[in-house]
Amino acid sequence: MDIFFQLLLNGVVIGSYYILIALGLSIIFGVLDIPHFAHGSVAMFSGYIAYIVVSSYNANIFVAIIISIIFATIIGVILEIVAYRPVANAPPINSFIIALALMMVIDNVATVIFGSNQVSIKSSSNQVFNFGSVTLSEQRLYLLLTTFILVTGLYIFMKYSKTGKAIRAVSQNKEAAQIVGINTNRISSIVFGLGSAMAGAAGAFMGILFALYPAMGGHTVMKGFAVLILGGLGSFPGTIIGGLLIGITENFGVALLSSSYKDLFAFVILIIVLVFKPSGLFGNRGL
Amino acid sequence: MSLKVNNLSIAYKGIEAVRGVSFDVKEGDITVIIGANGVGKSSILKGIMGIEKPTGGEVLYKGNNILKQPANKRSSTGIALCPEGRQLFHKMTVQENLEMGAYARKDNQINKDLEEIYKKFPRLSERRNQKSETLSGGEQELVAIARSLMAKPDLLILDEPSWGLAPIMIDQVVSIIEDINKEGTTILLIEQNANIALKMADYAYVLDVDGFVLEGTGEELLKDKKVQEIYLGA
Repeated sequence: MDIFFQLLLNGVVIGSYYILIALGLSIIFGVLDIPHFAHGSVAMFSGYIAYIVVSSYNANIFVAIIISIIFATIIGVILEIVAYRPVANAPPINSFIIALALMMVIDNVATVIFGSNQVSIKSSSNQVFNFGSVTLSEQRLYLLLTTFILVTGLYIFMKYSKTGKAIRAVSQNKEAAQIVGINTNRISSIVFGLGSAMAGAAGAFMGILFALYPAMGGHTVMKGFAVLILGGLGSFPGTIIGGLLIGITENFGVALLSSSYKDLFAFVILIIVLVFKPSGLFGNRGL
Repeated sequence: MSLKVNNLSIAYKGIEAVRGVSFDVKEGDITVIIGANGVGKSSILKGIMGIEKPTGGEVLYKGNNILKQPANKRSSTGIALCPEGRQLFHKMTVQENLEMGAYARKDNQINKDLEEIYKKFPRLSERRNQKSETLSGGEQELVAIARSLMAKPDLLILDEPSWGLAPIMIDQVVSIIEDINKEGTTILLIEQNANIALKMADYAYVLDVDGFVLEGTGEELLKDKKVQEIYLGA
């Protein structure tokens, strides 16, 4: 039974990582209809920045996480303005292709700069908490807390702030949003900044808990989209439940079968859900 | 003069939807543009609001050419549009929709005006926390009008407010528009329903594919033979 709870907890930790990735994808797709395939690559690149800050400047991991978040936010806003905005009114296939290209460019630039070997971020303290025989490392606890804070913060921001309401307005009716005086370009940048900030946190934690490597950008974003579709496009609770479900399934799958099938479980569960509920668990669009 | 449109042209992918139309909206008046489907009525409004980029002409509002401003600055100049087909934020509550109407405002009277609106539209007050998509068509039209009023416009433009409404609801919308006008807001009304529109009009234009073919006071146009034939079905 202990092993069951341990696997469950580990699944929730991995699920938190997927939630951070998928929430960014979700608001970017939900508001702007852009399938941002380079989102995982932004997470990866920011993770490397956190790695450099820690390994070369001996920074505290919290400082590294914050720098990673800031870096990702800036990259996200730049990508929106430079790469996506020029095709905002073009057919959707254009932003689709640009997104794929950005993913390849960023992943390859990372290979050139950082090399293709795996690296991980070493933290100075390694406390482990025991709950009975279930253990949770300090760093994993930080990931859970960070995810909780960012998700709650994003929810409150979207529901109650004036800008959050404007973001929802643009996602529901862009023309009406312009009529009431919302600057839709500014909203696009904010959405990319917010979404990428979450990816920045995810990237840093990937380096702290596991390892960073340039190709993880593509792997991460595929998992992120699986979570998004599983939960139902644009659904906030769907993204959270979907992330947890995939994280937990993966952990149990690896423990019961083999780690070589790790990436299979997410997509098997996705297919099973879509067979019975084609719009995803909480499927209907709009935040 | 509140609004003066000179020679406005709008084209979609090279096809002209609006060909050099000119008209005036006098301060304090209800000015009406009537015309059949597809003659470019809504395109004119999209041009005025900056949603479509006109290919030529100018739009003077209180003497300034507003085409030079970006679209999102338009509502802070005092023009509000109640768009065709209501265009509500369907997953947002009635209250959130009304708050978005005041998005461009920077004063602190918004909550006071919101309560004023609820007094004027008690039905919306009852449904303030309901998502707008759950409302009936008539109630949605009221939300759309109320949302545009939340911008505190000097000039309110309404695009087909009678669209899809039951006759009893149309009467209510007409009296709401007349009340808004009596309180000092200039109205530009675009309608297919010539009968109700011309009765409200201080001055009216008839739009055809070739541009404006007729203009005059509401009474004059109601008596006009051609208008009766084509638009009033007499």
